[in-house]
Amino acid sequence: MKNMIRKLASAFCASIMLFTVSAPSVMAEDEEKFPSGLKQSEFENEMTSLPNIANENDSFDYTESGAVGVFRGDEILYTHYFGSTDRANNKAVDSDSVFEWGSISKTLIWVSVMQLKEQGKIDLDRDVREYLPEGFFQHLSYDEPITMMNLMNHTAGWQESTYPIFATDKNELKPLGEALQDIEPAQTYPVGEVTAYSNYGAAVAGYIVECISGMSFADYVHKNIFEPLKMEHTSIAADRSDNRYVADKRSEMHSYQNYFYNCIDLGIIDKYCPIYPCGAATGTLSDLMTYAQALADKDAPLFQHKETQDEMFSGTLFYGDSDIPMWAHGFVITEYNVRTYGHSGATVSCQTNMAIDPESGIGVVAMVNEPDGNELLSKPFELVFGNLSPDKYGNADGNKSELNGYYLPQRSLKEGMGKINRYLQAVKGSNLGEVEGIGNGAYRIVQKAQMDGEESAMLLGKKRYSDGKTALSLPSCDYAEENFYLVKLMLLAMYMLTGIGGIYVLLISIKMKNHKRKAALAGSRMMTAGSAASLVSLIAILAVFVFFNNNDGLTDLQLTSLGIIQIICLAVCAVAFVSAVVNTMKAGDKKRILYIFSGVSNAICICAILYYQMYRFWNI
Amino acid sequence: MKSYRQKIMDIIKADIITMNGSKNSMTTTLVMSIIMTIVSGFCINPAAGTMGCFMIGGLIVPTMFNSEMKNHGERLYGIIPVERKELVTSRFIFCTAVFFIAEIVIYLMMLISLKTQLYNRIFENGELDFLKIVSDMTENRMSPKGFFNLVYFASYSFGLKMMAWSLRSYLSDSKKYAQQMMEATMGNRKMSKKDVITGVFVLAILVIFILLLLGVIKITAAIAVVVTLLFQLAQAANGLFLGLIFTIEALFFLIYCYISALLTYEEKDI
Repeated sequence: MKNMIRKLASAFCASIMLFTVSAPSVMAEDEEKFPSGLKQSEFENEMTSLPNIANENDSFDYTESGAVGVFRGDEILYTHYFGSTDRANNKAVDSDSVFEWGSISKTLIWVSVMQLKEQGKIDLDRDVREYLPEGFFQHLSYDEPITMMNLMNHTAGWQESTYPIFATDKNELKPLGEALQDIEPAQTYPVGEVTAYSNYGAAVAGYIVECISGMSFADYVHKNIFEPLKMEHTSIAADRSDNRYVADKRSEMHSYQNYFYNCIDLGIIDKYCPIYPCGAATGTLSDLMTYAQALADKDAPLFQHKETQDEMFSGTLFYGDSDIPMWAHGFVITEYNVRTYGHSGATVSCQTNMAIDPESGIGVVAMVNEPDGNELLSKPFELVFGNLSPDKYGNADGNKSELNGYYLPQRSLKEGMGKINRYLQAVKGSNLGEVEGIGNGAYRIVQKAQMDGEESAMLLGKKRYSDGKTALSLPSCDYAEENFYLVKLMLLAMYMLTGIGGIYVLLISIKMKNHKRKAALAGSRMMTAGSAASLVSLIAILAVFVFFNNNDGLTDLQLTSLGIIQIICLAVCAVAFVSAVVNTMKAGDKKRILYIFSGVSNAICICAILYYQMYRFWNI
Repeated sequence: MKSYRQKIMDIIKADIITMNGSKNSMTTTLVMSIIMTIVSGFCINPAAGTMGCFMIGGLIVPTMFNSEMKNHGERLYGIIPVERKELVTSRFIFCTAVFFIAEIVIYLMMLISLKTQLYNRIFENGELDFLKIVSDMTENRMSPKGFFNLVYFASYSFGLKMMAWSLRSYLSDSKKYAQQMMEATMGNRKMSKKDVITGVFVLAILVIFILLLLGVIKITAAIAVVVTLLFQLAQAANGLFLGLIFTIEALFFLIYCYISALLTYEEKDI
């Protein structure tokens, strides 16, 4: 019995010893794991085996170019620099390289606003016009007050701006208030109803910081964010004049593009953002990491009270009527395996991404000198935070359905000559797959990875606007259901066809002239003029896209001249239409069909110009 | 006095007789092409089957007027009471009708192929199903049937244009066209100045296309708009909307060729 007791006692002691020895190692293993379940070493292996990284010395010309950093609290877990800032001269990306933050700059606005709120200088629910100079907005369509919360949630109702938000010449830059008034877009949605991501709205918030603090936004950010955090290699001013180091480094950096695994050197694209608070910050990876670490720090070094930071990371806009947030005081919430707060950014030369998990203090930042694509902007985030598991928000409520119809992005031009573009970005509901309700207007779409078949989920909300339209809401913007979309698309297609038909009509006219044939039809000159007008109108609308693409927007001169051309085309088509109708009534059977054809094509052109507002160059 | 419609029908009948009743007839070639197209559509992929659409467009005119070209049969119309306008009209109607019948047959056959998916049984488990691969590549925004319709209608509109252009060339200068056809078949054709210009033009388009692919020339925003519009149309109604657009555009070209041929043929010395 004694032996038995002794054996049991020794076994018990051994098990305790085993536990005490093994427990720290298990805990150490736990500590090394990211929310995705990956260990740090596994993460590093995965990063080096990314297809376009592993090919660095291989036959492919293209390799990813940029920098990635991962931290947990004060500890930097991973930094790595990829590719080059100047391939031709073998200058690799390194810790001295600077990248444009793009829209991550907006988080500087939101932090500034929360600092001012903490000081009692701003009320997030008060009309922002109270903080702005009188008569600041010139094109508002709705009387409802626009609050700072509307600006943070991108629900102030502004459509996308038609004017350029980048300038190529430093000398073109104007003071922030003036620059904002120059590009004020039309307010096309009721305040607080539609989410439509707005650079303009965010920059207005930056201007409000200027108005309240009495100093320029750049000075405010330097004094209250960059200097306390010792971010010495980051600039915020539109022309980067506030940091010589950044300006010099930026003027050396090339941008690259992956084009079928060929690396295209886009050269040094040095453009300036006149409404700079929304996207002009530029700096090193280490500075962005310092900033992200401050945001993830529970002691809230950027605020007097840590409660302000907690408030900043509380939800302000939600999926449907659920409690799953998509925006938190201007910070985008991304649901990975854990909930992260951050922002992504893109300029004409760089892209960035930043996400932090305040719970674990883990954060990831990525900066690349490529304007399109790049796995570095997504893969490290998935590897650290893990994909959103389909069952995270419980089982589906049984409300499975296919989305029908077509949905148009609300972050687009609802009015004006760029309206066509909105119709070219439609999303077909059924292409999104099957959506499953998870309660209170929130839905999930389960996606299966093609490579390993692993399932992940994407969230979206459903809401109904005051005009009865259904919309799907995502953080970037709502997608509203469009009635008779196919009819409208067909009108656009037919309009383009009338333009192409115009080429043939003109060719036939020339041919007949060459063969010295007189037109057998009365009013044939008017028919030819109508066809020519359709063609000119088509060329003018395509020119809108060419100018927009070359300049990231349209100048007043371009807008006005293209609008006037469309008005002339509209008038010519209208006269040609009337002529065709009159001649149809007079003509015999054989010729009538030609007049009908002419009348219909002119009518299509008129309807398209009017419906798509191709003539409208004012107040957009 | 025969009506206009009767006259047109008579000319078409005469053309059918000429087409069939000669040892120089190329009807067998045309029929064989259609059969080959259908077989490849069933055995390889319906998208491969659509290749025949423009092949037929290029074959119709030499097939139908082969005998006439060799025997200088067009002189006949200089002496019989047929107006030149009627002749041009009848030939455009005849060729277009034959083309449409051939295309409808091919389209229906390809739809059956798409439904039965015989080609997936020949090639293991659909791993080489081109239509499905493209559909997956576009993240299912375009269904396999939608993509098939896109390829079919693009190919068919190109074929219709080829046919219209061939007929216009034949009616404008049948001797030259016959000579070109003969030399193209025999492979000893001498290059005229016009051919050199055409060659350079085609080569330039090819170079531009390659430069676009390599990214040396960036696709301009205007092209992107047109491509996006085509893509949106291809999503709607499984590509049939886009099919309608392609058809109308090809018909514009057909009308242009018809009027051009009419103007040239009426002044031609037969």
